[in-house]
Amino acid sequence: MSDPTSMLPDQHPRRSLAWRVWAASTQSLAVKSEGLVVQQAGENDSAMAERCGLIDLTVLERTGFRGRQAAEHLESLDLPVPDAPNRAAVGTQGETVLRLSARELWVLSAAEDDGQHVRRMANQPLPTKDCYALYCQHSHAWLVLAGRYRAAVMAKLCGVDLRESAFPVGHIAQTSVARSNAIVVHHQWGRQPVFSLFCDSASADYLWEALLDAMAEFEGGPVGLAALV
Amino acid sequence: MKMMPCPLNGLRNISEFVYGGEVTDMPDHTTCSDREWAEYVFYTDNQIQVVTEWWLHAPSSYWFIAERHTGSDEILRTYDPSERFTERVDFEQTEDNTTTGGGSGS
Amino acid sequence: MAFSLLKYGLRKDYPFAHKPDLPIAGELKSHYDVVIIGGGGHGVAIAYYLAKYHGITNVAVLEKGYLGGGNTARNTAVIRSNYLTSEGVRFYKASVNLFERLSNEFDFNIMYSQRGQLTLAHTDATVRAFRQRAEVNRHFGGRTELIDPPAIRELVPGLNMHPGHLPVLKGLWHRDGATARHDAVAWGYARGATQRGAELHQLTEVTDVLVDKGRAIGVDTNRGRVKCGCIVQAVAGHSSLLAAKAGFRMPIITYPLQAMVTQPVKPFLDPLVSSSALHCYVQQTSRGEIVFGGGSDPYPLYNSRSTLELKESLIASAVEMFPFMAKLRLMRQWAGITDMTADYSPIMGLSPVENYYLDAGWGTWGFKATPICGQTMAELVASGGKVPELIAPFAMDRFDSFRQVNEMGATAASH
Repeated sequence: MSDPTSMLPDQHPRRSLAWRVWAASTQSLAVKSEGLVVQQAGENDSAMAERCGLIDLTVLERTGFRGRQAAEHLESLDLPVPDAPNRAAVGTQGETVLRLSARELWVLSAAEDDGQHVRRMANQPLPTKDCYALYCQHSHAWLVLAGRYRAAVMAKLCGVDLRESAFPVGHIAQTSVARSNAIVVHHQWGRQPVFSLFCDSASADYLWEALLDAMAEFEGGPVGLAALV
Repeated sequence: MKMMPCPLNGLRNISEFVYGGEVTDMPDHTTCSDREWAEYVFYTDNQIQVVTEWWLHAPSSYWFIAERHTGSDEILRTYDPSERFTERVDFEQTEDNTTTGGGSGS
Repeated sequence: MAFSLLKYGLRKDYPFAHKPDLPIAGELKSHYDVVIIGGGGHGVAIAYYLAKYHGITNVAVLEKGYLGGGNTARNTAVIRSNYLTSEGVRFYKASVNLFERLSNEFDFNIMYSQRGQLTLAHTDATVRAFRQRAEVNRHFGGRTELIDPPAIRELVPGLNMHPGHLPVLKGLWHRDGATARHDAVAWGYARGATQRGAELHQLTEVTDVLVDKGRAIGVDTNRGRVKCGCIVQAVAGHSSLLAAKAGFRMPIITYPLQAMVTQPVKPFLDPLVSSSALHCYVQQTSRGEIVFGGGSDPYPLYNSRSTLELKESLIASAVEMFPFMAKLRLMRQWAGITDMTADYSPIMGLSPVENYYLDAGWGTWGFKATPICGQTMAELVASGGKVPELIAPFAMDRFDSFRQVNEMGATAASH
């Protein structure tokens, strides 16, 4: 494969559905989890990520399980299962486990690896009963909002109080963001705590633009992976 | 904005929820009459009273049951359907309905 | 001229004695041939046509509030016939025809104004459905056609041709579309009915329906018991509540429907405009105010409160269609209680109770049917239960045999 830094996003087979809206604000690209992500968006990525920065990580590996046996299945794979719905926990190898309801769990790949752990896990045989795979990789887009103004940005778009005092790291809110349904996860990803937003993949470009619009007053904008990991 | 307490997600704006109809007992579709089926599908009490309804919290695709007054719009109680439905309902495929729904080409 | 003015001015008995438009009804009689429950447009129209065409005047219209104070006063006064099914189009076309000459018939101005109605299509699927509606309409003598964006721009110069980022592909242009003063329609019918001998009893609430061996024989009211030959229920948003008193259930779910009106501005909008995808319709009244509304509330309720979330989304849609509306102020907002059927068509005709007739399920489409509904229901009552052909498809038992008349697409947010 050719050098990703000089590549156009549409030349890579594994890319986010929202690539058109961020392609213009991209300096260089990288391949992670076999998919295309923005390596650097501009000159001030680090400063931007410190205030509020946005990146599309849709291509990164994730998987999900649903059913009565879903929790046991994850435990058998040595992953931590949060003890209540709408909580997240981090495993020993950096995977984040989301408990979205009593019987629904998602696993997000770590910032540090290339998604191989999650991929291997997704290929494990399922229990014979009461545990079903969820294809959240393809149904949802994954946008990450980083920076100290992240809660202030979200306050403009979302009715749930996402300030640190009410929504610390490890909490999940499944709610409406800019009138579109989304799962908001507060977790440590890479060097800093971030909000991961999962929305219907068809709404990704809409949500991307809505978030950037809300971020403008905080002088935020798109950032690259290098600023987070 | 009006708020609704979701058993899974807590108190949320009513706009996050989708109404799913009243909780009613379904007649056995293999034995009931057309009239009974129409009664189940179309006819309602539709009175000013406390009703038990299905609601969906759309962002989490979570279905639950709410008791609500249709005059005051007061939500009295919401709870997980497991309080009411303890067993999975499977629909049996009968011989004669396996052939329905096919197009003219089948 | 000056002399006669002086002459009559000085006389006590002015030669044109002032007759009240609506005689005040006295005590309730103990028996009527027909009791009509509900004194809205429909109720008084039935009384009017019973007296006018069938000579039946021993009729009481019982209204728990005041004349035309329910959904007759709350609807947004759209008159049109561009429906989808042949049953629907035929019925509403007959209504449009009656509306056109109603002012003359009443000798009372209902401010009927035929400005045309334009419904915007934003997707290919909608264009296809509109083409079908135009054809069905034309078949029944309506004036409906599909028009292109340049023609739309000419008709409605202020319209944003990409509302909500949706392109305007075509428009369903219904020349017969009109509006009228809704109160005046109720007043005209009430005057005509009472002048012919029918009684309108306001502040008279039916508390129970008397049924004997499956036959309706009378009603109990807050003013006492009234026996009758037959009963017609025409109570808009309360059909299921009244039907329960008569002992049966209906295929109806009741939702609030909200609408609002802005401050008056100079005339800028002649036709009534609605968008199929934005679920919003906009019209300018003859007073210059802009009336706009959308779909029903998202869940059932018997409460005419207004909600902020519906207002917000409706205003967003209206501003998408006419961006300058962002500068206007809202003057009033309100809600009506609407009885929705599963197929968005009304329920007219017989009920499970003998001599008890239904005029119900009018959801968001009741006002435009007032004249034809009154005429056909009167025919039904006068014939002792022979259902006129025009309303036969709308019998309640169509649901029992799954013969719905699907008007959902032609109704949603177009009213």
